[in-house]
Amino acid sequence: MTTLLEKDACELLDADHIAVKHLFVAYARLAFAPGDAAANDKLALARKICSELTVHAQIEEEIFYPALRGEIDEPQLLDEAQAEHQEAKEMIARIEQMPAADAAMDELVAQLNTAIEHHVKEERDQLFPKARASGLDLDAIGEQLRQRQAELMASSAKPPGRSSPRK
Amino acid sequence: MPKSPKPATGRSDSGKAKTAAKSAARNTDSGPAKAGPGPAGDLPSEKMAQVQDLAAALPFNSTKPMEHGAENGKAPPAGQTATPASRLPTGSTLSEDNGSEKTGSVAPEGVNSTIEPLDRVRVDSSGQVLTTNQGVAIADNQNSLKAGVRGPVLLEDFILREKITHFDHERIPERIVHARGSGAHGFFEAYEPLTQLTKAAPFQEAGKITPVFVRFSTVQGERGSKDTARDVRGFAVKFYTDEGNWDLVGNNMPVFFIQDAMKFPDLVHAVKPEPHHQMPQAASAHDTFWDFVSLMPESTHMLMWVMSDRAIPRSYATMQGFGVHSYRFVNDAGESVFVKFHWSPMAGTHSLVWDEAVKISGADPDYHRRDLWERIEAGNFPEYELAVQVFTEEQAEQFSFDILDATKIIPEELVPLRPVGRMVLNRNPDNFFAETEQVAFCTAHVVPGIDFSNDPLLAGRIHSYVDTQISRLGGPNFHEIPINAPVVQVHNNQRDGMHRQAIHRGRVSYEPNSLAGGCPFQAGAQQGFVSTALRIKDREQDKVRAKPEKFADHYTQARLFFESQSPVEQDHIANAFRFELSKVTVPAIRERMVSSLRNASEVLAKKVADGLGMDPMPDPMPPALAKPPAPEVAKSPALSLLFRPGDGSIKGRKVALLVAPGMEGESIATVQAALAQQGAVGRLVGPRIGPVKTAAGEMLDADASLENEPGFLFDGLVLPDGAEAIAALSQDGHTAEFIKDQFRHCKTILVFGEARKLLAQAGVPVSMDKSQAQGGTGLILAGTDQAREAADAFVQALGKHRHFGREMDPPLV
Repeated sequence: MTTLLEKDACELLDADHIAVKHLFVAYARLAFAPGDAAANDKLALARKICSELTVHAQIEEEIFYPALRGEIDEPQLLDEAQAEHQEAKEMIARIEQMPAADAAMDELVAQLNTAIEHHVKEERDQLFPKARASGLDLDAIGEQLRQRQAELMASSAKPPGRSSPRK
Repeated sequence: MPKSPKPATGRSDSGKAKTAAKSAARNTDSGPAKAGPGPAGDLPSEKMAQVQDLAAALPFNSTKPMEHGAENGKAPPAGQTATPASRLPTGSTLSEDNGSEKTGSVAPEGVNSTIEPLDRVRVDSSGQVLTTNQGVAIADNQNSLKAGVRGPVLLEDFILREKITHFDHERIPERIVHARGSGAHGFFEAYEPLTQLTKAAPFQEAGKITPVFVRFSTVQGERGSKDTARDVRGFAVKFYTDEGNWDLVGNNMPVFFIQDAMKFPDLVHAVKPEPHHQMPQAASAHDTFWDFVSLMPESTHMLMWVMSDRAIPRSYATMQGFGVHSYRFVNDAGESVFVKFHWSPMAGTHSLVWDEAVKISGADPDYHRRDLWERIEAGNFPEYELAVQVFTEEQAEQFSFDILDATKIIPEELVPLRPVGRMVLNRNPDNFFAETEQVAFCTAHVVPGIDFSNDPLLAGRIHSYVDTQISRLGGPNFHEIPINAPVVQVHNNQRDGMHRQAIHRGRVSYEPNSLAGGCPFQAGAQQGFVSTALRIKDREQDKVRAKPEKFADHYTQARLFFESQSPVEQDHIANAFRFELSKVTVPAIRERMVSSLRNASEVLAKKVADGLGMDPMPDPMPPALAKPPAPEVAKSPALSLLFRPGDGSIKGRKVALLVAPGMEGESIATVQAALAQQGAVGRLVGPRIGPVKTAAGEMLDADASLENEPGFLFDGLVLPDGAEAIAALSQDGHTAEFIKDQFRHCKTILVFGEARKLLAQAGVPVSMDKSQAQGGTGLILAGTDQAREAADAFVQALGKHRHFGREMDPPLV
């Protein structure tokens, strides 16, 4: 399981959810431990969280949500999800501008964590079952997501000076 | 009167007087005008004369004037005494010299022998025959006495009747709250002298050792109920100090539901099993509890703690303890400061997750009791650091909250913790009933140097604990039960009562007295307990039944607690509210609680409401105090369990190493050895207990089975390699449950070789792949050739306790 497996669209997106949750948990463990010995580790984690979420939001918006639109009975869920992305992106932008992993960053990362948690729950509880029941070819969409994700990760792996994608 | 003949030796008038004295001294009522000396060597008259001298030595009560006035009240004098000429006048009887095997000898001077170490009541029956309680050897312990082998049992069978009668009376009433508990002996060791702050005996010098007995407990459930209920845990410490017993009767949470003891019976009635059908046992998730607390917004802060993972600790060794109330330290000069007491576990603060706690309560209701016992037996002694928050009355006046309010903490960021010593629990009781059940903790038990604040909840507790012990332990002499006796001398004029053990010498049971030379005498301010004169200012108010205004701030610290938690902990709090309120059958109660939560945290309230299908949310409850003072601290990371991760040690942890025939044995043995070296226990768990042949032909002996020790009982899991073993485990339905629970509860799992197939079979999703590639999941995959490295990685991951990255709501598997 250390190599990435073939996954359908929902599985791929969920893999992102679980992976970023691990990063949030690792961040909180450092942020709440007494002392600030781990400031550098926290900064690296925060940066990784931001870049992972940015790519994740982008492939959802470019590929997954459009694919679902018209295929599911409550398309307003997609609008809500998109709005939540926007909210998250604003937090991500603020985190990315922070020079050091201080208490303010701890606070913002925790807020982002809570927001993402909420978003993920809605996606897992509502969108994924609808997607799975829709008859869409989730394997094919999964492959599209995987390719686009790889492209974006490759380009975002060229710091500095990258800008987070905005609508 | 007939003249008696003169004795041959001759007698003077003084001879007559001596005879008269001798005669007078032989009566227990009426006496002569003057107690003259009797003949030499005549003990009764000698005693009479000495009693007279002793009484005459105290011609009046010289300390009487000093009983008056406030200044004398602050510094009472020692009592007046006189020294008897010998031990004769203070004895009960002249015949005390006639000792026997039963009576022993005369009471040693100035000694109460009932406080001797517990050795005086220890019993070991090795090599002994069975006897009755009267010491009569029992010839036959198999049959009652009958008139013929098929005849009726005879009433005269005193052996049967004694045995049955004693059995019939074995039970005592259980505690009304904190009935379910586990205890241990240990010691407290002071780090440094705190003489500037307090004269309390345990804190007088660095390295000073004070024996302790500690009892941990749940609150709601009955004596036989489960350990892992969602509940507050009692954390009661009895210090056997050399100035008497000090009981620090605390909890594992620093606040409480209510502010005044007047509400204590209401609270407990509400949380206990409902009175009509006596359900639910050991649970707060029912109508009456939530009805009460949703009408008592001062409980909101405590509800946050109880809904947090602190209410389901992993071990008594991994939870904090708190004195809850503000107490006082008092020094030799009589100066006092306020203190709050904090116990922090050296092993770090670690908790279970709810799904795990529920499952454990079925498979092992004694989970915490067993854990405490096994840690001590294995030499992994639970250890806690004691710290105090010290603050003055003037500081307290500046705080935004009232320090007499038991629903408020003092944030560590406002008043830092000062470590003052450590406590080690290093001896299990010999007998649960005699020690853990009969131990009587009372907040009233304080020693010189410790005093109370005016917290109105504490005031009620000072009364309640002593009161309830009297009925639970059958009378006022519970202080003589060996576990409750102090290690210092006990002398007073309290007498008699049920089950009295002390045999007091002499006839004096009152004070002042002259017949016992004034003894026992009042100690005076120098040695004795003197209550702090100034407990709080503005004492001059009229009698009133009302709370101070700051008590009306019900939400500021509830918010502080919630917002100081890590996101995972916040999720768990929301999920706990969701679970508990979902169990309520009355929607109006549920809605009332959510409306109250909105005042503490909109995020939390929304999450709870979503989880209950409550849309829209009810309006926020009108608060009792519209504009509470701004808090000094808005976020206190110290309130998160993550703030005290401990030293990463895995001592006392338990790991399941699954075994089955045909397994690769070396790698499992390597892990087991690594765990043992770190003080953890790696148990070989097989499809059944007993020998298992490895692929290499070695025999391993499984000491637990998949059936008798389910996966959720362990802190971690190791799956073995080996085709045949994997096939066997794969077809045993328990295996998937084992893995599923271990995975769901975010525990450390080590998977050797092809056993990874078992993960997929248990439903571990493919979407874990990215996290695995990223690392740090606590799910370790390794080849059997890397067993050494894998074992190290496993030990390290186990030290992190849980890996919540894989936690989703609802759970992934």
